[in-house]
Amino acid sequence: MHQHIQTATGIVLSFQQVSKTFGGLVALDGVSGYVRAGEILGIIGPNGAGKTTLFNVICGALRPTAGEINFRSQRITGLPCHRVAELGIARTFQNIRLFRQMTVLENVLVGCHRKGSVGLLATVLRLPGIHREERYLRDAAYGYLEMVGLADRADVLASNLTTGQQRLLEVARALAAEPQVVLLDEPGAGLNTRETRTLAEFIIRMQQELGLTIMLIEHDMRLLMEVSERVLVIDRGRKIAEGSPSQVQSNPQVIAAYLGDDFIANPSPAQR
Amino acid sequence: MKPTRRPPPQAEHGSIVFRALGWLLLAAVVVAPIASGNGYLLTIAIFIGIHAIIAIGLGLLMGYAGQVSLGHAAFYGLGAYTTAILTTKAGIPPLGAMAAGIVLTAVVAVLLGAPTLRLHGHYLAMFTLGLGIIVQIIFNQARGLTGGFGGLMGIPPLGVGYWQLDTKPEFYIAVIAVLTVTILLANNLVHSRIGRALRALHESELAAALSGVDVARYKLLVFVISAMLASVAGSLYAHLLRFVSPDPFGFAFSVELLIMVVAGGARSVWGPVAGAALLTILGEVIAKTGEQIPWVADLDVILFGAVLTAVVIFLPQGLISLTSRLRRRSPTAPSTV
Repeated sequence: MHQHIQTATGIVLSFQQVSKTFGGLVALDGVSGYVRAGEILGIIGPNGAGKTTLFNVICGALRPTAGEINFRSQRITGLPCHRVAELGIARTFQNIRLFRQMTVLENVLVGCHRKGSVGLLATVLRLPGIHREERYLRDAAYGYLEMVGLADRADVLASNLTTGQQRLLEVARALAAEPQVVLLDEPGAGLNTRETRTLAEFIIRMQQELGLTIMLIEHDMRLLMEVSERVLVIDRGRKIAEGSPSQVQSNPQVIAAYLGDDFIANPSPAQR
Repeated sequence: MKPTRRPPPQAEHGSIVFRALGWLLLAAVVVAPIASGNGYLLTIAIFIGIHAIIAIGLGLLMGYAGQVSLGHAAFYGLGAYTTAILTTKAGIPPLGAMAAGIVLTAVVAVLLGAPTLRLHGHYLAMFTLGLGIIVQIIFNQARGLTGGFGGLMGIPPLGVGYWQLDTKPEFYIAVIAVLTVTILLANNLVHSRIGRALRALHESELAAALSGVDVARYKLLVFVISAMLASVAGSLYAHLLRFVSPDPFGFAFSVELLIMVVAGGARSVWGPVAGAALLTILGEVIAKTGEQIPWVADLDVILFGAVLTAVVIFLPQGLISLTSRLRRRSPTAPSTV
């Protein structure tokens, strides 16, 4: 019944009353939300609000203390990461997690892991199918590198890329898994103005050309408000607002969360 | 945005001359012990081969899956004792006993690895340490089966029916053949989609898992493979000496294997082979010297420790990285450091 409503409204991913506590620390406190197919959902909140924890809970890196997560009308709460990835959710990391000792191409090849299927025995015996599959995987990986404009860096070690390039490589690796939903965790952190522009354009291309659903955590408000269709605001583990970028920006609770309660009572910058 | 373009041709690493020289040198080293006609040298070479087979497996586990085993000598011992018991007490032919040893160690490795490798961190090291102790106690105490401290004698030579490898040169060739196959298979594994997944999970389990790599399954896979290789080496050992006793399969040898892998270079297939050669020769030199000057015999642990320390400080990628340092003169080699 519930699932019918979900498909009717085009919701691909939803989380209900999700909580996560670490000992005495409440990182998430009954957060609910959803994202529709093909939508870009922005997630904002002060540092430590629980945004990354929400991503970790969705992708299976952390098991929620309470609540449930549904993806395409399937309950995915507590599934291991590789199963969640298989079902069609990919992500990037706030603190970049590339395979630093591997080349740029190899990083994307790992992203293509599920596209390959040759088993252990055929691998160690190097049966003929191996070469065909390897060629296919390489072609695919190059395609993703071209998409993000890193094809000419394919044979460089990932650790030798600039921060901006590393973030793009993370996106390429995520796309290589052919996900339906991509969780981008502060992709703009450490990027210069020009790189941020490219990123904004690329996020919109991901949505429009690849038909992806995107959840975006970002501290760069201009970037986030520009690309997001809807914004969810989290503060101290709770959802405090949800709506269009303009609705959220004028929400007093949101302003209070970001600038402190004083600001509402006495909105002079000198006070701070 | 459909990915279509073909990659450019792979860059050729290193010069052909360097490679040719390397292979020639290797061939010379392999042939030398037979050519010398020196039985003692041949025995050492056989031991290097046997140790290298275990070290390659342990190298896959440490260098690719990022896990440490402190009990690989136990798998080695399980292989040796299975061969010894089945050939002497049940009259099973050597290859059948060897296969039984492989199956037994694989089962033990699965039972040990399946619960532990789901956890993050070095739980496997603790569990394998425990396994090593338990197996050692069984070898010593289950006298009816293992002969206790005295061990088991009368193991037949390796062979199939009429074809018996009862001379040292023949046995040496057999060991080299097994080692070559091991190197080839390990090399195929490392340079594959699975090998890539392993290197990836070694760097970041989370990122690998989110790329769809079943981290626990791959770690278990490599652990089982490494245990099976140790078992094969153990069976070879039993046929070489025709005698087994508990002593060589204790914790000390597990540590020695670790040093072989780290000193040689865990992140390559040839590294552990180099490490096995170095430590086996070093151990033999110390033992020989110890026959004349008794206190030298106790220096092995100190010397192995010194080797390990020196390698970690000066050649963190292991001895094998010396070859890629030579090769690095060529401008295209991308990923040696």
